[in-house]
Amino acid sequence: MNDLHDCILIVEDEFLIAEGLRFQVEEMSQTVCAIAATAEEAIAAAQAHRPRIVLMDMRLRGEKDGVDAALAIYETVGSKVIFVTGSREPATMARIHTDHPAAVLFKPLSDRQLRNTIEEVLAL
Amino acid sequence: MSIWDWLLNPSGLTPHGFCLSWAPGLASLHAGSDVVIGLSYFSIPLAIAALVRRRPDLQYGWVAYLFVAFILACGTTHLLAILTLWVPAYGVEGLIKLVTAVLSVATAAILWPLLPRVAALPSAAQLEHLNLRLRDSEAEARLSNLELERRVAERTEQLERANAQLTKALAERSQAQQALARNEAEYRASFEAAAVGKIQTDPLTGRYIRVNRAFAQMLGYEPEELIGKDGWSFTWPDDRDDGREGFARLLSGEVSTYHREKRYLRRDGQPVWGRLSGSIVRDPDTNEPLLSVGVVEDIDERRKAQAALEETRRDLEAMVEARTTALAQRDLLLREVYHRVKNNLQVVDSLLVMQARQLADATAKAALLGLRSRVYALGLVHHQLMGSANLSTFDVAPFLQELSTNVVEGGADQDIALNVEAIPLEVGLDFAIPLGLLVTELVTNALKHAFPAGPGTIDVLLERGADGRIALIVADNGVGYAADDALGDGVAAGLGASIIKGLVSQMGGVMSVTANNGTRCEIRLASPVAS
Repeated sequence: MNDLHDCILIVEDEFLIAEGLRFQVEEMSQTVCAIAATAEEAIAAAQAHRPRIVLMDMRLRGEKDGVDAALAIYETVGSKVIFVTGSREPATMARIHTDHPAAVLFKPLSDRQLRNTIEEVLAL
Repeated sequence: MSIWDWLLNPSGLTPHGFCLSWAPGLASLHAGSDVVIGLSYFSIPLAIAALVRRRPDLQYGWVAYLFVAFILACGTTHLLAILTLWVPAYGVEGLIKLVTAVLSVATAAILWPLLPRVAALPSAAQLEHLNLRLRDSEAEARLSNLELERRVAERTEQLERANAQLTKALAERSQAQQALARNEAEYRASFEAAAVGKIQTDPLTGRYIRVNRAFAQMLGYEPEELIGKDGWSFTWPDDRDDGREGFARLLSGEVSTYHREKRYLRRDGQPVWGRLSGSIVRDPDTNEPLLSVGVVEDIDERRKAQAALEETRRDLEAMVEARTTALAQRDLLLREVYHRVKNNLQVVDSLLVMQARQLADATAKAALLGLRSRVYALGLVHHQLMGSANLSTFDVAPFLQELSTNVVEGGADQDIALNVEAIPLEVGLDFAIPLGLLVTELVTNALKHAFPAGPGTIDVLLERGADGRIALIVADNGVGYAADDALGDGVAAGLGASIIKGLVSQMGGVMSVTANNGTRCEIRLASPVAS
């Protein structure tokens, strides 16, 4: 996994939230390598940029969701995936845990939570 | 010659003494002997007559009288022989002799044929012997009598005993018969008058032998109309097969009783529900079925009520299902709404982040950051609601912990310790949102004003006072700032202060601030009304 880059891929289909996340990440002196709105874009971006961390929204535009994308990225790239979701429904949580999430964050996301989580995941 | 002459002196004959030459010795000898003989001959018959008279039991007594007459006649001849010694009364003497001859001949003639019969008469010795024997046999007879009497007594006793037993047995039998009759009467009465239907059926043909009024009326008939009819024809057609199957098992002895809830066919063609309990009466020796007896309870109303109840229950179940589905849909919708609210808050947060980056002014930047923590409080309330089972209330303690931690860690440059203690309290949206905003403002204030230099501790406490009201306390051990315009009443206050004032008032609360070794802000609130 040493070939991964110190950057973060943001997967979020809502532009404003994606932008907000980018700003938050950048405030922490981290680099955002790309922002993807669909699962396919996310997988392509991950394979192109090989980010160390992916911030993954659960609900995505298109047929596939965040878990589909996360599984593919985990297998092909090996990035750590932090899920960011607005929902804490049991069905959603069960779906997330079919993958191997590094962490799960709930919207709205505070700077503190984001920073702490990213630091923890990088330390793994 | 006269008769008297003939009798006393015929033809002048000489007396007999003359023949004796009147010799005195000879004449005396004759005369004396004849006197003695004659007297004896008169005495003997007298004795004989006396004897016969005394012994009337003597057989052939009349023969003795012949002897009496004959001896008297002989005696008379001897007396006449004396007379003729001196008087020639030969006529008289001859007549007497004639009489004597007749009597003698008669006696002799009778005596001979009588001889064997008289000889056959028992002698005295024989009689004595006979008597002895009689006495012996009498004794024997007495003995045997005694024995007989004893046996008679015994038999009598036996008989009496047997009689007593018989009487008793008869009495018992009579009682048993009475009891039987009473039982029969009672059975009949209970059969006829029972409120439940009772039937007796021939187990082989299935025909009614006896039915009571209750049963007949249940089917709309008179009892007489049903006697002899095939019982199965009064069972509702759809229930016959099952009934026959059950009855066959009863008849074969596989089961000893038979219970069925089944429909009978009423006279008007309508079904009527009955509960039949049946059994078979069998011959105790051969075990052959003799009679099938049944009790039929009219359960029509119960069954109909049951059916109605069942229908109601089905309706209710359908309603419950519909409600459950509606509720599930509502829950789904509610979760979706919460999700959307959170997503929108995230959008707002993103806008604030983006806007803050555009600002150069530090004060303006800080104001936007303050807005972000307020938005976070709103988001967190929805987040808690989504995780609760009823989607409408949640426990306040973890919420306060999460909320305070976020403010402290997001806003503190120094090393600030946070202590959150809250009673378990279920709160809804209406209570949680102002409470969350109040805590956000108060903790933010403490961070901003209490610790200009160096570390400290912030306590967030939620307690229940003795008056039942809820007390929210946010206290710090920093420098006092209560007189500062951050909270001071009547002082031109900032946004935070007016938010606090307004929310306390909205919640019907009272706030008191004390500055003693830091600042302690206590807000007393009415308990949240469980929604």
